[in-house]
Amino acid sequence: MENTVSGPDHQRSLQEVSTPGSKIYPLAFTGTGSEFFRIWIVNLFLTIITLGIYAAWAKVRTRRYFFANTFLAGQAFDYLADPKVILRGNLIIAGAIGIYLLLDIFTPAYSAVVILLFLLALPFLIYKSLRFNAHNSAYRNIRFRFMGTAGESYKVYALYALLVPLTLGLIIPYWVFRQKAYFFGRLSYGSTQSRFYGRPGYFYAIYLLAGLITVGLIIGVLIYTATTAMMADSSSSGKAWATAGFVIVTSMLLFALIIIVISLLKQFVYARLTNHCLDSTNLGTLRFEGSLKAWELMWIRFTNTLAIIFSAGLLIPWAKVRRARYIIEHIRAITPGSLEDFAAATEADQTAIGEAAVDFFDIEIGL
Amino acid sequence: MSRFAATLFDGKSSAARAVNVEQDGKTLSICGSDGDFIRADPLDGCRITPPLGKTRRTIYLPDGARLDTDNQDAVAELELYDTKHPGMKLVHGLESRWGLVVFSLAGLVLCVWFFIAYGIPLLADKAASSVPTAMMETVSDRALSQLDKRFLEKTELPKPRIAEIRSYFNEIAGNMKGDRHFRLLFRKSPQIGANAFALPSGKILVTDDLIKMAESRKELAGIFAHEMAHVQERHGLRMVFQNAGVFFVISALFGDVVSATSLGAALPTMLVERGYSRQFERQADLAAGKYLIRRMGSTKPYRRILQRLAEKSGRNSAPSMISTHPGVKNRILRLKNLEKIRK
Repeated sequence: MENTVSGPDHQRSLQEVSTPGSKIYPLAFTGTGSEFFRIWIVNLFLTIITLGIYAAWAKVRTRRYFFANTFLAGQAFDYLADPKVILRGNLIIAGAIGIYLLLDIFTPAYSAVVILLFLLALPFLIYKSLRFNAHNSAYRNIRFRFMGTAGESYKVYALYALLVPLTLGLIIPYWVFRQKAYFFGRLSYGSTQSRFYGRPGYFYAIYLLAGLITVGLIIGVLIYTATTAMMADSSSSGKAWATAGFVIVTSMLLFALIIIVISLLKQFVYARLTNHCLDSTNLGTLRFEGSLKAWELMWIRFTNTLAIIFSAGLLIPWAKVRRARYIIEHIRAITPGSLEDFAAATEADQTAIGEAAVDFFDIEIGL
Repeated sequence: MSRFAATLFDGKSSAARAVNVEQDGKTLSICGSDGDFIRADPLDGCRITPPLGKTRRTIYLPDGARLDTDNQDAVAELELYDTKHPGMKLVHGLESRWGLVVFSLAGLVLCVWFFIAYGIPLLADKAASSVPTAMMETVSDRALSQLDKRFLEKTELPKPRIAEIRSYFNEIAGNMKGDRHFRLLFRKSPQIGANAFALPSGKILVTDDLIKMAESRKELAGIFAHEMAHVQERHGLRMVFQNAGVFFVISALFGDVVSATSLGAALPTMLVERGYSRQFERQADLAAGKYLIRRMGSTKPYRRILQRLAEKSGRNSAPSMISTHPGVKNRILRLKNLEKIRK
């Protein structure tokens, strides 16, 4: 279970953390593409022949596969959700979408009302989803818990969302910061609550950098279009074909470049913010470190996309395993103490959370 | 009687304890690695988590404590006494054998194909025929007012021409089987060009350009019969329901609604929907062809106007109904063949 990363960055952080007595536990991932492929195919097959009912079991099996193959200090995580609860949530969501589609066909005025209701409920659904998933995640037979409240969720996902247009988008980095703080700062492992001390300034720096690159890209494209337009104007009719060919080829190259840069920017923001959030989260004496690299994440995304396209989707499970392995194996836990000393939540707390976590709506918010 | 090594977590703290477990088919006796007795639990009250790939097996003891072990065989033996999760063991059996996985893949492809080719069209047909007439009128009128707002203008055809074509249209409508009422509407639309379309309520729209393109009334007969077939077969509503069905199948395949709206799902969705639309066009052409042969003995005028429509839309490449229609060459060939069969 040795860390597989090496390189100057990694060495630097190693030195930083080698305070005497501290132990470093790199996370490890043992899942394989071929094993997950089989689980995935059977999941899809059973989901289709049961008209979608098996989807809930498929979700639990998939999550369990990824959790049970994630190891920290020799012990695996576990995902404990009851598929029947997920089935109930799926049925409610399917019903809501059915109603929406019917309304959209026959009385579109009301379908807008459904959308509005959904948006109003969304922060609550996110809160429920975080709570459900945390409660059903366990490590060493101790469950995680999510201690955030619905009120906070409305503040983070509704209030700040409303402020985005009012502040001309300037609040977006702070908004993302609050979303991360809502998750990383409100988790609890057993009776040990997490602390998050991320800095909004860092979020602004990352978004500013990404923004500057985007602006530079736009200016570059504008200059390019202007010059090629002038070239097309000045060229004689004899050369028109050659010019047209040149413009088409370079436009395609430019288009590819833009897609690559946008993808790189997304991975850059994801890598830096995930690293920062991990670095800024404590669980008692336990702290974390992320060493994700934007370039490597982008390479994985790019080659995964190609693999999925050229295999007509059959390599989706391999791609998922590959990305999960990269992310998981670039996270480390560091503690001067021991991983053996975390206590479970008191029984009363546990029951209360358990009761509150019975409803499930799977809202992926991409943490 | 068998023994296996495991890790015990008591559920109260995160401490891991290496233990040896001994089972006799009734009880699990757990001893520390030093041989000290720790606890014994009745096998009845234990819950074995269903197997999943090669991941570690876990056994929950009655009080919530948990045993983890890498010894798959020992747990498989324990499971002989455990009749819980029979379904999940079956699923694990499927997942563990490549042959069965390939079978599942084939079954998956077959099921998806079956749903798309037969299941969804059948359900959509049922749904479409259960829509009350009044609602169909409302939907159609709304669609018409939307079209009027965005693409359509008042017709500029002379009144006598309109009256002439309308009476010809009504003659054809009178010859149609079924109890649907058809009404012809004229609109001018530089944006859409030469085109005709049917609303579920039986209103059929033609653009001025199309009327001008027709060199004879006979040429229009094919177009009218085609659109009337769309109305009679409820193609408009069926299309809406079929597309909703495709959305649900794609959601199930991709796991959730969010990814069903993603780019990767957009391409298969588009291809399937295009396939449906072509199928409806073929059906409408078939009905129109049969009508023309019955009444006039030939599909030639219809073929001629189709040819001209295709040439025109090819030239200015305006978005037109031609693009969702089967290749015009194909359509013309089909109509020709139909004639041969009928004669």
